[in-house]
Amino acid sequence: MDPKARKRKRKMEQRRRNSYFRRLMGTVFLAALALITVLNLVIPDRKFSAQENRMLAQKPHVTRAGIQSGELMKEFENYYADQFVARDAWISLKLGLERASGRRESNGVFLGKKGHLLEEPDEPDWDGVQKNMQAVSKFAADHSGLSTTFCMVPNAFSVQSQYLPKDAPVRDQEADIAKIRSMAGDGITFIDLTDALKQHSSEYIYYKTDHHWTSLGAKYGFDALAGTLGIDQPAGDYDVYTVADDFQGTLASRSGYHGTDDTVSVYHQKGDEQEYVVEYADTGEKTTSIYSSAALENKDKYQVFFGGNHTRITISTTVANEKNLLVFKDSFANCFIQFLLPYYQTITIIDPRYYYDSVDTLIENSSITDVLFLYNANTFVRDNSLADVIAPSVPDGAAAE
Amino acid sequence: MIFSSLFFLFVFLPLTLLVYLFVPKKAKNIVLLISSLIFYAWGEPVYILLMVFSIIYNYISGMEIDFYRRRGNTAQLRLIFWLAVGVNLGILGFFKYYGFLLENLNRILPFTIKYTPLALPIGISFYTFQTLSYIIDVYRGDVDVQRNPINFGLYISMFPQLIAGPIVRYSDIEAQLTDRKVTFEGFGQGVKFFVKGLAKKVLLANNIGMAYTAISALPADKFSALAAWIGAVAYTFQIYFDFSGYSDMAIGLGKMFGFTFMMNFDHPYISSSITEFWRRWHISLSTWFREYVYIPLGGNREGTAKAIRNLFIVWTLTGFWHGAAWNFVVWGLYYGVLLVLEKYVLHPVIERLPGAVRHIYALFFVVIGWVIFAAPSLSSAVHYIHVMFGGGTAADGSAGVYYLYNYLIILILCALCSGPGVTASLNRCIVARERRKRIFVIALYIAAFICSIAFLVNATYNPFLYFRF
Repeated sequence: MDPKARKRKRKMEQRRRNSYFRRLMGTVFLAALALITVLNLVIPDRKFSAQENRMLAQKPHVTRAGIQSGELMKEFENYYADQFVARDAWISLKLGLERASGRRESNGVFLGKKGHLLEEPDEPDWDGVQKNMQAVSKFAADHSGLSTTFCMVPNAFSVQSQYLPKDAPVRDQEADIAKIRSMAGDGITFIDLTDALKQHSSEYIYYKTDHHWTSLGAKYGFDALAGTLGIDQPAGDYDVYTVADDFQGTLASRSGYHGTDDTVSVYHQKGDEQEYVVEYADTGEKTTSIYSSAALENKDKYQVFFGGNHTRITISTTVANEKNLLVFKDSFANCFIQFLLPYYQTITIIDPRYYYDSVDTLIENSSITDVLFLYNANTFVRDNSLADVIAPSVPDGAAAE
Repeated sequence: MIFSSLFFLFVFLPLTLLVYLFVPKKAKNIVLLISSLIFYAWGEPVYILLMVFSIIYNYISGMEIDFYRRRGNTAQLRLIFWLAVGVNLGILGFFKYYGFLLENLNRILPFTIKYTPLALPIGISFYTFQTLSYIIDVYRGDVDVQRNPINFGLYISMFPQLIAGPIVRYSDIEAQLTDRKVTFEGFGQGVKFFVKGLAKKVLLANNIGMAYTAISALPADKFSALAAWIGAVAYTFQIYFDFSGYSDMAIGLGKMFGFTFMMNFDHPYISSSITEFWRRWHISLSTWFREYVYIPLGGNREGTAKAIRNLFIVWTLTGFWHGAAWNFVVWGLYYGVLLVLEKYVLHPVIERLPGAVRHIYALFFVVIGWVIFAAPSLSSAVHYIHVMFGGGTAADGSAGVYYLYNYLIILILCALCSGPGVTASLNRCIVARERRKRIFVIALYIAAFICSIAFLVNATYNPFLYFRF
């Protein structure tokens, strides 16, 4: 065969292989499209994703307005993604790929050392913080008869920075808290728990897979805060009950990393025989325990404390010391309240994110003597609900005058 | 709708393909036109009317221009032509630059004009340039008028290239609109392009883009020079893989439906001069400006002074085309200056430099250019560049080290895939004698597709970068 013919033959063979490759590619692609499309049609929808700990989008209702605004299409795309076949497996694959490529964070969560997941701090909304702190100062000034304490809990990324991925850039939360303190003015007692918690930074004071502090962390917080609250001799001895050892919290859900389990414990002061009644304003429920054993069946086992967040909770104890505490708080307080039980006649707990009634009326009717604001710093720097609850811009009754 | 979404991949595309491949040849254009209109309306339920108006208006204008051209009625011809140019540019100007104009007027006027900023209709810059190319070509007699409204509508709205290019010139596609072959082999070739583009967008661009997003949001005390450089390089890769990935997907989808679009990106980051970079970057846009602005203005045939003037007009417009903000204008002028310098001053110097140095020179200015381009405002661009050259207030470079750890592998992958080597060796494997090499490439494409789906299912970051174009 002459070289020219050989070359032509080689070209032809290459073309044949190329054509074979393309047809194979087309076949595989069509098969994959068909398979996944059909599976998505056939497999029934899920309501809830345990792995992500959230409700999944359901089939949207078709409305004319929804089509015009384009909202319907967006809802439909979210629905389609949420109900995608084998969603959990795809998410695990994505996380595996990210980790293999050296990523040390996922969806706003640092994948830290020794299995610790740490929430990435948010950029503070300083205008909102300023507004809240002015409202707190005004509240304290308007209620000078009450003993008002503002307690700020630092977050794991600040206290347990040894678990952060190497060189991870995080905000200086101590400086942020100092700035918040300076906004508070001198009228209120401001307690920053950073030092108290840093002394125990190697202990199990924050969950590894959840953004909350543990009951142990809350206990150290209570020890540091007791004096300020006028509790002279806080109890030292507790019975500690482990209620769950397979807890995977919000950070596990958010990052998709499920490699570690947490332990949830509750603390009961040794020898405390007091009884109490817990009333939930939103559900109308009444119980004799601040713990919800039902929550232990669920994914979010931190909800063992009060079963989660409520607009208003009232705890009436058999302590007859006429001390009535009002707590404004976020979810960090939920595991903190257990340490306060032996020291107050009533404890009223308000979550301003869901509370719309008059605070002044409440203070009067419940004969409040003490007020505690308890927030974790990372939630507080993004909070926009506190000011409206404690210092509404239009006071009650102003319209009638 | 965007290509890199589950809904497009597993609802829209299968349905469209199913209908398109099974209807007779005569009905294929109308099927593609209807699905393109649905595709557009899905994301822009109101602005679809604007696009339909644009189609009808330009269809009629084209017919009128053709009519007066044949009759030799120059006055009428010119009137209709300039009216059409004015209407098309007017629509683009109104929706894209109205807010920008008033914002700047309010800065200098003693009183304030109230206005509500309009949402920019997606893809309007792309399809307006396509209608203009048609109107101009018909006016010049370079192409025949399109008498079939369905074919014309399809040219303007064809979904593969509708929202992010390439900007297809009518003359390139005229014949294909009436006569094209839809083969299974061509389909497979399209799949190859599409999967490659999808992986570029979802696996490379989106991932490296997170580095830029995180770094540009760093507080001042963490924002070190190292971090700033990593961020700038990250964005450089993000915009390339995002944009060229989109073009690859468009070319691939076109092939699936039997169309051949021009190549839009030709490995721009291997360039060794700015001039070469712009020959390889967004080729369809540069071609458009050369063909319809630079050359009609006289190009470089009327002396150096006019040529420089023409270059600056083209590059101001190019910058402005990318978005109604000052940093885009500056970015365009920046390239105008660089290209003029290269052409008239630096050319003999650059020629004599070793290849590596030329390459570094070109990339350096490209990266700086992207910083100007990516910044939310001109002042933040200046600040970012200031930090890149040591003007930051970071205590140490630890944040930069952290992002280097996090993104090193992706950065290396991006660098590898920026060159022509990967595609070339894969193509060699495809035609190699050994069957296992072909199987390897197929497996690689399947793996890329599966990984892309995984990233789409849990898409925490899947931006559409051209919303300002």
